[in-house]
Amino acid sequence: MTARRACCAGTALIVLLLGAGLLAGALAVRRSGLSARPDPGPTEARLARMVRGFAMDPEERLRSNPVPPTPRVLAEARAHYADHCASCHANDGSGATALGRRLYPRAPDMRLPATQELSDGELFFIIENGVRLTGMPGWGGGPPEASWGLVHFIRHLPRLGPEEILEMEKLNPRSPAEWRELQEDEQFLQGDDPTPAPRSGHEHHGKGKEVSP
Amino acid sequence: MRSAALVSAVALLLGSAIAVAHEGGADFRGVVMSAEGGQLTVRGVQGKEHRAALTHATRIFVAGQAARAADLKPGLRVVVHARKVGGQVEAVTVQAAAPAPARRESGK
Repeated sequence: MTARRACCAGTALIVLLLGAGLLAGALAVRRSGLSARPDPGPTEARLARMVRGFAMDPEERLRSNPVPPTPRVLAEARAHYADHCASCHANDGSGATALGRRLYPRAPDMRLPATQELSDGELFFIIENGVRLTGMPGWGGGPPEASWGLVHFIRHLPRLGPEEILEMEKLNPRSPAEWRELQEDEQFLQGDDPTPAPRSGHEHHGKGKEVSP
Repeated sequence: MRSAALVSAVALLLGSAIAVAHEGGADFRGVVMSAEGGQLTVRGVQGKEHRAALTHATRIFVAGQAARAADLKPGLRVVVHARKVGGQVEAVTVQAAAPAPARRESGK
């Protein structure tokens, strides 16, 4: 009888604690409004990384990169990255872009150990499958060689040179007006004086450059 | 499914363009007047002067090669991508054309 009573009390305590936890969570969600503006706390970040690691098949983690890191593979991956990844991750991998800094969680600085110490298989898995409840899309479905090339490029990020970044900037996604301005910049540097295009009308843009007489 | 992905991608790109547009860009092109004391001065159209601070984070290129502020000689054509930070204009990237080759007298 005493054992039964103790069991009931234990169950009630667990239910109470769970209820209190749920209530606290609900209140926290209500108070934050699920805003993406504050930085994730260290506990949340650690927990999220643990869950991501737990969710990955160990066989995937142990996969090695079957694509050799030739200059051509790296050049193609750099162009691919500039077009598909840099909007959030930045050309240099720092994540310091308007989008990357506003995602929740923030786009990581991929030059740092937290990313560089992931295995090739882990990087490939993340590129191919994305990560739920983050801004990372799953890019799988195409030829896997492209993602393996990106793994090589991510490894190269800590040693990325300024000339490489300049090349990448020419490949970043742009609006038609920005493409026109890029062409005008090139013409100007080559000695031509391009006819200034009509301003886009977006005052924050800072474009519609003045040219020398 | 494919159209949904396409719509998402377009929305992402449009979003990024709008977001970048709000980063406080202050770009200009012109001819270098001086690049001294961490300050770049450029003459733009109709003689208007533009100034931008050259910081340790400013990336400078001459003819596509990484360069230093000292390489920005007066007379060079430059395209400057800059941003406004606390009321000050900071150069993010300065791209300069290759210096014009010295003119040779033709003797004609």
